[in-house]
Amino acid sequence: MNRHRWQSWLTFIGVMLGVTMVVGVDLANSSARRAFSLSLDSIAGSVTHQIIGGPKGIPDSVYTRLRTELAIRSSLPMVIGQVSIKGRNFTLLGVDPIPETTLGRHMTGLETHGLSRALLDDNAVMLSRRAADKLGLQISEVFELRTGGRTFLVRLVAIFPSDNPAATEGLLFADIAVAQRLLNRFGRLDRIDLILDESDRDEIQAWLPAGLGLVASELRNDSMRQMSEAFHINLTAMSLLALLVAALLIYNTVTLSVLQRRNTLGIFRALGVTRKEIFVLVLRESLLLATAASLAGLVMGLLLGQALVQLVTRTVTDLYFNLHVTAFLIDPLSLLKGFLMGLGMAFIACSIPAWEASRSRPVNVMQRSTVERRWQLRLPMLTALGAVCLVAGLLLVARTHGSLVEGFFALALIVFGFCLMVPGMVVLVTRLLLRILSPLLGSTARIALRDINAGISRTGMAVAALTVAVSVTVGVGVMVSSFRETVSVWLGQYLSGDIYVSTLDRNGSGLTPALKSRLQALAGVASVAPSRIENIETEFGPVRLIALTPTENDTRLPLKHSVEGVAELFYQGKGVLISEPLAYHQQLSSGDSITVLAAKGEQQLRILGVYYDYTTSRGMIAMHREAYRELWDDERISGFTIYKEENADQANLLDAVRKILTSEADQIRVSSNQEIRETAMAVFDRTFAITHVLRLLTILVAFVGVLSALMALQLERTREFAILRATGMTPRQISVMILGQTGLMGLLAGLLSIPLGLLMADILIDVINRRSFGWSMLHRLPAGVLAEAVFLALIAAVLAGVYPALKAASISPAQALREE
Amino acid sequence: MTEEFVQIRNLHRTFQEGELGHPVLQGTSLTVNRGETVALLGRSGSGKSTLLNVISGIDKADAGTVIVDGIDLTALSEHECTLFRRQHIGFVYQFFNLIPTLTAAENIALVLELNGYSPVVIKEKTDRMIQAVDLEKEKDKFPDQMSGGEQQRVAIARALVHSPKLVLADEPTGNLDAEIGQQILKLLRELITGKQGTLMLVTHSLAVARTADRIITLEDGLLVEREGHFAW
Ligand SMILES: Nc1ncnc2c1ncn2[C@@H]1O[C@H](COP(=O)(O)OP(=O)(O)OP(=O)(O)O)[C@@H](O)[C@H]1O
Ligand SMILES: [Mg+2]
Repeated sequence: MNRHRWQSWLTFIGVMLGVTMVVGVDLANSSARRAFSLSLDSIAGSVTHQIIGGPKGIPDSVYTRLRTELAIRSSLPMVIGQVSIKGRNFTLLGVDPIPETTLGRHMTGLETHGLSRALLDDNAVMLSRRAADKLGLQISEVFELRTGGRTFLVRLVAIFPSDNPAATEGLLFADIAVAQRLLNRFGRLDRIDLILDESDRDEIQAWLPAGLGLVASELRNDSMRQMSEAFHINLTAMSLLALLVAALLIYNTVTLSVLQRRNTLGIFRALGVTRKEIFVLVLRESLLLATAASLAGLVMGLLLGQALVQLVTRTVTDLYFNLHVTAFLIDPLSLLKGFLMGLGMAFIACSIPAWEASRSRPVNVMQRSTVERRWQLRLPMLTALGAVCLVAGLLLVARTHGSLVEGFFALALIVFGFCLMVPGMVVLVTRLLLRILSPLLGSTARIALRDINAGISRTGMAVAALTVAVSVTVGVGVMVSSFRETVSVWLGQYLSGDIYVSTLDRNGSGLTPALKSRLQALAGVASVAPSRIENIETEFGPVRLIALTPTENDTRLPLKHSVEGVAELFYQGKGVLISEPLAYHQQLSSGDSITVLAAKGEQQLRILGVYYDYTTSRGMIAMHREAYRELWDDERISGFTIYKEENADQANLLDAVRKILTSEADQIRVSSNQEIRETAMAVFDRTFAITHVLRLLTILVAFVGVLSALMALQLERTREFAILRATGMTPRQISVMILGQTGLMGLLAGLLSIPLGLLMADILIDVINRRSFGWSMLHRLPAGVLAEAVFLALIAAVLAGVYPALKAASISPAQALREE
Repeated sequence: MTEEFVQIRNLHRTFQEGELGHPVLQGTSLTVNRGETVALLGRSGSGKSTLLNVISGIDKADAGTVIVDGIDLTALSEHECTLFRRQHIGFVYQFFNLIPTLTAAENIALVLELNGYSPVVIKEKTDRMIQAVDLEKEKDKFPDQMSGGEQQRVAIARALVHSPKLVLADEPTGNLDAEIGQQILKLLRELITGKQGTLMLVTHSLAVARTADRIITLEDGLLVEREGHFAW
């Protein structure tokens, strides 16, 4: 072992990187998940049910009547909104301060004396100790708070210590009346949390005014959680891949170390050491190495996790839910999991050579040639097994509906199957080359080609590792660029307007019919279409609703499929359009119906069609604004879409619109079609930033794998190089031969990675992404991605070959020939 | 054309073994004439292989000179030394040392290729050599498909195919039974003398040594010329 410390080091690094990735991703995921459920929890707590309202919320009076008429005591009315303090996002919770609340558990040790009174001040708020410290705020300090585009001055009247700082860090508390004022929600509640038993539930259900709903909070939270789960699964799958490559590495090292000590082990066996003892002996050393590497991986994983959690949180926020608690939680379970996975993987990977070592007869404990001969014999079986896995995986993904985990399992089968087939393909190709090019090949080329064949246990492994890593790049690369292209094309259709006016204020104050008229009057404006965005309750949980103004023959949405005469029906308000993810997840189609909770109570709406939407993988419903007004009795406007006349100048018009709106409140935003498009693409690129990091790491692990395999190979062939040197080959010729050989291996890996990568891309697009997010995508093959893959594999292999080549060139032939 | 083909002057070679130096060649000097066959005897570990390695340039002496055909090998760069070796020296080893991934014929052709002969010449010379060592049937076999004697014949063919001026053989029969050993040796000598080559042969067998023109023994790092009989 000592002589080949490099091999141990490479393995150490490989295993460490593998564990780093698993732990890093898992920590980031669990931090995000924790933050997610904490922010649900800190708002919902041990609540069993919630009364929810529509876009307009719940009138104050419902709460009062709930307590007086029904005598329900365990209830907590709430106003919730997003605010920002010194550039940080907080969730403002307006609650009834009388402490019968579930909130009590956050306030351990809080000095409550006089608090109730203090909180009644009309600008009093309360923060957790940690949040106050982070913001550098002292008690009774006055500070600025922004929400809905407006700025308020508030006073910090209390700081509460918390038994769970992470849960409360992103929260800001205020009296309900204060919150209603800050959030512009006078007389309205967003939610009433309840702790109910069965009989109460039925009673409330019957009593509840139309337009309000009673839901079990468990279910609601679950459906929220499930949405971002898909994203986490995707990341985990990628990290596991790195671990797989690390497993190949450790298998490689242990085989090598057994080979190097075959004499010693043979003598041990001859001396009467039992098979079991040999097995334990071999295993122990490798496990020691793996343990150390896994521990190092934990430390590195902590660092990686901290970096990743930012990316993960951002993505979750972009895609699903405003996640504001970004405290990095070191979940001991994640650490333990990563450690055990590293170790378990190492155990499996080194059990095979250890077992083989222990099984051999004392005289020939695994001669190199014995290993190779076994491999040659197993090759057809290995290839056949690989083909079976591949076909099984393909059959599995061919089914249209299935779970995400099943999709990943199929993908794993395909990758694994292909991996098993790689050595066979390498042998086939080199044999073919030898046959076809025979008259042209010099001895050096023959040696290089035949050595690939003769050392297939190593070369096959190296090519397989590289193939998988590069195919991930191809697969993910094609998927991301297909997705990007899809989004870009979609934006072109979706953003049918030329200028968009929107407001941050939920009540849409400022966007009035009067303003509409003024905009309409501008020269060059063809039409101004008001729209409203709200959250509504449906039979499938909360869903975003967009109420827009279509024309008689244009729904203004990119339709995937629809019923006959959709534009007209939609224009007449005779149904809704739903987004593709909603249709996919709930298995809805054109012609079905969906039940929503409207102001007048539950309503069944006809689904006229399904439209492409990539803004959120939560569901979306679109309807005519007139229909929305009727159902929810809501006149408010969230935005105007301005359509310009054919030949009007966009820039001039934009200026004119901006000029009108400068006098308006600062929460109103004006963006051109172009600006929105750019922002959207920036969000897209941000979302996929994490995949670049993980791709890079996978390649790195594969690179270490290839380097290690090549080093082992060159080491075993030291004698051969010595003979070649003695016969008159110069050091340079040796180097060139080795680089040529590794270059060929890289080329093979690159070429093999193309079909696997494209297959992977198809599965990522049609199976994984679909099952995760419900999005369908165009298939795009970006120019250069294939050449890039071949180039990447080639470079990786040649780079990995440089050190072994230099080493082989610098051997002392006399010394090497002495060793037999 | 000098008669003194190989001139070894005051050669020193010491191997480092931990802290200690282990002197093997300690001022060894020797002259071999063109066309001569010299047998090198000596106890195991006396430095015979080391001497041949230094002469062929695959090992470097710490001090002293090796002049072959008027060229001072110790003054050459690694690259020049390699080129000299590929053109002018043939080496036969105890353990055959064939390239496992090349066939018999390819092993023989390798050195010609390295010397840049045209494919036609390579084919012709290789075929002739294969015939000379009587390996027509085995020429497409790989080393692990051949017997020890066959492998050693390939090794001899490889060492001689480019008609080197100097052939170094390190116990070429050491790993073969007596009868095959005799045949191999006979073959080697026939082929070399036929081409006016010079042979330095390391052996443990007195019988083999006696067939040489001269017998030299290596003792305590110095060469001693032997006449008449002696026994180990
Ligand atoms: N590269 C080396 N490193 C250290 N010691 C070496 C090295 N090469 C040779 N030696 C030592 O030098 C001495 C001479 O070795 P050499 O192989 O030349 O002996 P030899 O005469 O050929 O022996 P044999 O008849 O057994 O082949 C031995 O003691 C050997 O251990
Ligand atoms: Mg020797």
